[in-house]
Amino acid sequence: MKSEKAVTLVFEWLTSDYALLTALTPSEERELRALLDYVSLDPRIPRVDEPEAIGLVLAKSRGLVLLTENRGARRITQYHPEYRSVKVWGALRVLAEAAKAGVIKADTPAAFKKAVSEYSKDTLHLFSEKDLRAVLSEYYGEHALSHTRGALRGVEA
Amino acid sequence: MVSMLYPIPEELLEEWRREDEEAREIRRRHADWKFIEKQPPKIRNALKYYIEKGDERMACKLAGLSLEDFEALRIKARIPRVS
Repeated sequence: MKSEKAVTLVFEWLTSDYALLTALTPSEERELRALLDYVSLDPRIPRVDEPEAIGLVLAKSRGLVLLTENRGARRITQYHPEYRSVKVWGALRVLAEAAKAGVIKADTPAAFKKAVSEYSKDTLHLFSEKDLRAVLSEYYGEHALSHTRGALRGVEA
Repeated sequence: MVSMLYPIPEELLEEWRREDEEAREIRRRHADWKFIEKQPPKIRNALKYYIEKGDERMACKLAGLSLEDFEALRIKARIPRVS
């Protein structure tokens, strides 16, 4: 991490026990080796590097939500029987959770779409219509889907 | 040799193929190719690799940059992250 803002935020989180630096247990280490061996043999999914593999193992063994955009890690949870239970959130779901918790003000589907669009412009991160519809429906209800027309891919809209 | 890989339904594989192709097209379309072509070879190739594969960690390694620095470069090159 180089950005002063990011370093300061992490220090604040560590100091206030909001974040925790942790080590893998021996059994998690074994599971990590097994997962890395497995993904290196499976050409059907994008590469899963060690940081994402550690995230998958920790999320599974400690019942945590894994925050990642890594396609390999996300796809593992779609078919690997040992990792199917792992919950993976990408940025879109984090934004939805932030709205739900009132961290960002997005009481309506339109306000949420605006927040997503601002995030997309800042980070050049675009989302699929399918994911946007799924998140809108889950967090704002079925009626919110009428608001997705033309919302595909954030900054493309 | 017996395959030790878990089965993946053909529909899911097809969905992944579609997602990957759509994402690649979007990265290609949005990229600032003039900016990319002006970069030194290592950086240029890493950016092109990212456009084709969407694999940021490998692109970082190819460019010899940290994730944070590559992310800043990706944004300068107007290459969207697509998910």
